[in-house]
Amino acid sequence: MYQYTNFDRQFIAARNTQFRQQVARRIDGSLTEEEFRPLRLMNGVYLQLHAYMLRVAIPYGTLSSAQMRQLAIIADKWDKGYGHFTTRQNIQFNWPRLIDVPDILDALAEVDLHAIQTSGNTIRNITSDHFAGATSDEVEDPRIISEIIRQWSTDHPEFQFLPRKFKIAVTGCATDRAVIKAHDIGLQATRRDGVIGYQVFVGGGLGRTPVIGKLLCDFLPKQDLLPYLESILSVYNTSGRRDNKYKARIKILVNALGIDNFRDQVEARFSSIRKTFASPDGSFIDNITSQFSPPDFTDRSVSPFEESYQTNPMFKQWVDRNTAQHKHEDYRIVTVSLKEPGQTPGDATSEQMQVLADLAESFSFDELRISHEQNIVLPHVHKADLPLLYNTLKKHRLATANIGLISDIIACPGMDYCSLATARSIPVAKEISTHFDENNMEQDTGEVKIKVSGCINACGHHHVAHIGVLGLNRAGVENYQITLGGDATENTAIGDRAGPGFSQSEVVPAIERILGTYHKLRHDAEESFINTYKRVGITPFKSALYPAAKQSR
Amino acid sequence: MTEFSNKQIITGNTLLSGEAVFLSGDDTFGPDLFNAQIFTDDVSANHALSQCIERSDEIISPYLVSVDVQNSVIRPQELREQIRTAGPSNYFHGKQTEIR
Ligand code: HEM
Ligand code: SF4
Repeated sequence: MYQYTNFDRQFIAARNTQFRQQVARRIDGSLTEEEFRPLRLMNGVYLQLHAYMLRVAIPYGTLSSAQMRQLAIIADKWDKGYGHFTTRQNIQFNWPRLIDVPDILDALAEVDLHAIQTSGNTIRNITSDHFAGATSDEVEDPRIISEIIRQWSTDHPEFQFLPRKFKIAVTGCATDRAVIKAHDIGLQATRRDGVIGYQVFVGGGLGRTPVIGKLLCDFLPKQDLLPYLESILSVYNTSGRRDNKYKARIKILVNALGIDNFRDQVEARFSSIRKTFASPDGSFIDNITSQFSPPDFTDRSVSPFEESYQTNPMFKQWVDRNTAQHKHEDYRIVTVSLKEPGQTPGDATSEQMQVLADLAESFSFDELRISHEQNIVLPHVHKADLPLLYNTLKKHRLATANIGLISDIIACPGMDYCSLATARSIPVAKEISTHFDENNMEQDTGEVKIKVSGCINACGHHHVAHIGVLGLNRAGVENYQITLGGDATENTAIGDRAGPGFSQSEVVPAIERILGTYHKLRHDAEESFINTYKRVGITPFKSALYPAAKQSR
Repeated sequence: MTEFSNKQIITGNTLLSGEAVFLSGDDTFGPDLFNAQIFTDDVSANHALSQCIERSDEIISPYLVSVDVQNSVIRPQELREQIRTAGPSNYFHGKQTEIR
């Protein structure tokens, strides 16, 4: 894992001191709210419905045990004993008091965490594959360039006041677990003639205008990455719209110029700055790379695993569902579900965080990951340790075997917390997960991705869900629009709107009709929901959702 | 149908803690909805609001909320405000823990 340098620590300490003073000046009346608001947002402090909210960045989703423990301590000391992990690999605390935030930020700094650039029109937390460094199909660990980009983008003087927020996601392999094409810039490692470089996608995004990122550059050598990114940002900074915040994201600029024209401008900028750009040199890249070198995997017998796997069907089911192939054949990548049916997706109690920190320390080389699907990953677990790990998880309600299934739902905070919401998302997610858990439909249905957002900003990724649920407000009443056929993998697709929305109580029956249609139409259990949908199209699902009787009324 | 109502209250969040609070008859902001001062006409409501906006060292972004009042129970018309006055629906947190 990357270790903070003295420079990193001094920078965070200075920012925290500065923010402590800003809070004091706000409280003593020397700063007005208008003056203070942008300052608090630069430090991740939002105001929601019931309280302030503090958003802490978890760079490329990687946490050490010590960091996870500190998050648990913060949740206990300054919040209500839990935290919410988000699709952007952040953690949000929903109840901090403004006067406590400077102390919270100092506590975060003790473990090299911060909330800088988790809000505002800046380059946000760099997100990445939560299986980075553990998966077998990787060209290189995407956290290497994610860290380089983090250093370049943090406090970058030119990019503190962009036209709008800016999100970058990186994957190290062709399998996309980071939804890179739904980001302002998406990067994918690729190899050409033995040399590692990056494919660059630009102008993706969700929100009110969902767009799939377009290919900007097919192969960018690694040493050109920063000047090239800087060129993209500078074209955007100069030409992106600032008159209308709904048209201010880079996707709008790329669409307005056309990708070829946009590319020409980037290339022109690139050729002028490349010579002067102080690109990280080989030794710098080597140093960062070495910090992500694989842990010392051990050779031990896997027989304890084999035995449990043969004899304990619950354990087997969990292994099959929640663990994935590791690059070392004796290891597995474990995904710990934060989606126990009926619970709030992405929430972990302080006790659960402590347990996960302990488990990571004992069994996963001290490392944890936060996935954009709001689960927690233990990336390197030896098979022999899986039975004990499973039993411990079970005691803390962390062993739900539902990864990729109906109840593994992404949900944004929605109107239970968020001041921008038009409807609630959490209760909908809870109802769906409880219902399909109780009627035992989950295992037989197989993989289906349901994602719920509480407004058109799409923080819950509903556009790229197999079944997306968008909460709206229709004449004062919550109303849920359903989209079908979105895809968050490398085959990125924006879902199709099924038709008129549903009341809250109609959402579960509607999803039941969608899944019933899938069961009727699939070739066999091997054909997943999304593949069936791609084969048969939306029509049969529409007929199931809106029976003719209703339509003709 | 709910009968037409132009009753309004003033709400905001406190600067120090961010808690949702309501303007009461004695001109203080407090967490209890039942103490909220009810304005029955726009002119006095807007006048009171403009005075609250001046109190930005205490209260952030105050605004008016339409409410229904039945048997002297105040209930905001919009779901968003109902949630603000009760607390989130996923946990027994926030104001609902104090209302008895
Ligand atoms: C209360 C806190 C939040 C506020 C005020 C907020 C605000 C917004 C806004 C305004 C947008 C639309 C941006 C645009 O289209 O230009 C957005 C997008 C997004 N937010 Fe949030 N959000 C919040 C919480 C969250 C949470 C909890 C998550 C993760 C679960 C999240 C993840 C995202 C994602 C993934 C997008 C869409 C990607 C894109 O930017 O195109 N946000 N958010
Ligand atoms: S999608 Fe809307 S309701 Fe949900 S967190 Fe984002 S802004 Fe809030």
